[in-house]
Amino acid sequence: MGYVFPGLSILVGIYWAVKAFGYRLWVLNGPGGGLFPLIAGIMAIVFGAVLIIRRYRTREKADFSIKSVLPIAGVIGIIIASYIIGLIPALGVFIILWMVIYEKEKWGKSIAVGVGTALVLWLVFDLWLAVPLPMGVFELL
Amino acid sequence: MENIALLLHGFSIAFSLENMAAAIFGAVVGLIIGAMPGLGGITGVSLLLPLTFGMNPTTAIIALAGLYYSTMYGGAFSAILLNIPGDSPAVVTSIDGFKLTQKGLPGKALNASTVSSFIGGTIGIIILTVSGPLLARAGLAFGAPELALLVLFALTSIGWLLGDDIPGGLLATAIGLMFATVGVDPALGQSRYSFGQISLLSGISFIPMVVGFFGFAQVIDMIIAGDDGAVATHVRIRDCVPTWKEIKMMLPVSIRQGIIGTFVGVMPGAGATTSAFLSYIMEKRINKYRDEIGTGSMIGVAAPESSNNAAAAGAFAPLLTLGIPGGATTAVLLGGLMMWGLQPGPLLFTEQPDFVWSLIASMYIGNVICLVLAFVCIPVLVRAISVSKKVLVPVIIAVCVIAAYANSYTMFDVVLMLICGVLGYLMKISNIPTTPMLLTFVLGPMLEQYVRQSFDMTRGDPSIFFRGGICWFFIILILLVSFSPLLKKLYTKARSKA
Repeated sequence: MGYVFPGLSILVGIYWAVKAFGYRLWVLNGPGGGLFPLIAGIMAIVFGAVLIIRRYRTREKADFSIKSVLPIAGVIGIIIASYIIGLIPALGVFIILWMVIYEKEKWGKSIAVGVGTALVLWLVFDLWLAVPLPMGVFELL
Repeated sequence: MENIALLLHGFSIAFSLENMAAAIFGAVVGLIIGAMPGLGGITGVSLLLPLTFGMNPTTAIIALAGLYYSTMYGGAFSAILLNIPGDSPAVVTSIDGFKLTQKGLPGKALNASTVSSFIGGTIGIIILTVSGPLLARAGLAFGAPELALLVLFALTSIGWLLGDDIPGGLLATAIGLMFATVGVDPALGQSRYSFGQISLLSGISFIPMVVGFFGFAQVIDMIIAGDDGAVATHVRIRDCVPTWKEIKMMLPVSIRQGIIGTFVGVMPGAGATTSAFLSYIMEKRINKYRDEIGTGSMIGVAAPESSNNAAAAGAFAPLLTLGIPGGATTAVLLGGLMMWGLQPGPLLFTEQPDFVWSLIASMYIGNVICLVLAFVCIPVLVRAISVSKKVLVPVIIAVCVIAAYANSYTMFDVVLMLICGVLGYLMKISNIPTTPMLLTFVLGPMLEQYVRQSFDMTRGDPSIFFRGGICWFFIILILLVSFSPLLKKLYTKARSKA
């Protein structure tokens, strides 16, 4: 897992550096749009490679846990649910489900926290700040 | 002396019931908005501006100014307690602030932040009172080449933030620069690396990125750590009060960074975020306790907080005396001034003395109000953070999502926050520091823009970077910083031989 980030950086660095030439390096007597991306890309390639070589030599490993996928899946679930039931209810439901399923908390406490948080977020963001939140099916009502 | 007499007259106006109520209202709203992740001074000022239409200009600007600098106080709260910076200047505060919370010292971190914010803010206002117009003219001496060299100086200082893993830190710098180059290029105005996304045309938004790298990555870490305890437990209020030794440690830092922050705030385009980063890297270099900075040190909280509050006060100098807004928030304030029929510029101080001096007086009052309000909030906030991680984790995830969404009201920013969170987590497990990346992300576009503008001014002649004393001052600083490790090595070698 220790190779993932440096490896990813090298790939993105190559893309950045190659694409930089298309934005031109020097234009109208000054640095073009491609100069800084080229520098960034080359740096990513060089230091990504240095890290990979060093990790290979030292056998240094990164501590990855499968648990890290859970909050990522949670946010993806919230995004999808926000188009169906709206953002605030999606956040409330997420908190309840997380506390019941993952944390093994009681339904009563979980509902209180989920509904309470959703209420506060609704009061602040929707009612007070008038942020146009996704409403899902409630938009039709 | 004349300024003092005018200031006293300003106090007599600012102390009216109407103006005091406006200052308190602005400070309270600003504190709340600042503490909310994703909402900064510009959101607050934009939201409050329509409410001030019915007020007289003096009362209106007192409310707005109070809100503006109290967002600086509030921005540190969520940065320290949840590792989710309320707004961009608070990013630096979260580096040491959250580490103090993890050590069980959230109260100390909040107190350090509040006291240093007050000191920095007060210094900024005093400098504004004494030398507002002079300061504004000094700020104007900084053209594109001077600003380019200032930013370059800040970037060369990045070495102090890299830690033990230099290639890892430099990789983070490269990632920051790559992120910074997304959006419109300053040369031809063409879109770069936007992948056909409208949301990326103006670049990667700072707030979703920071919420992802700091807040969401932190949540993943908390889940993996797996213990059920609170983020900070068994915190007694009396533990929050700084000791005499800590005060002695923070005071010179707050004063020093307050003065520097004011000058950075005066420069057009520099602003509170740049001043916060500069103050942090400066203390990391010169402070007696520099080794502690980055591991959860009160100095690491005091320096950026003092500096960003001072910068917020300093930004009023060019706004009032020259009509030049230093950043986005002061640009909205400028719009407000013009809406009320006031023309900021050199004549404002002579033609509208009641307005200008009551505003400056209200800044002193507002700063004290912010200090009192923040102290009242600290015990409540410390208790709030003592809840179980079982509750805190899903609530923080929900806050991360809505903070990212509120940035530009699109789900794209939530996706961006998620991607940045995953990258932040990968960087964490790979032991790659995120601070150099954020520094480059903030300063990279400024450097690119100022370099481009400098070349445009002379049709490609690089000699513009060597004009005048300010340029040479920064060139010497850059050379000293770049070669200081080599010079140090040579000096040690020579000494050991002798």
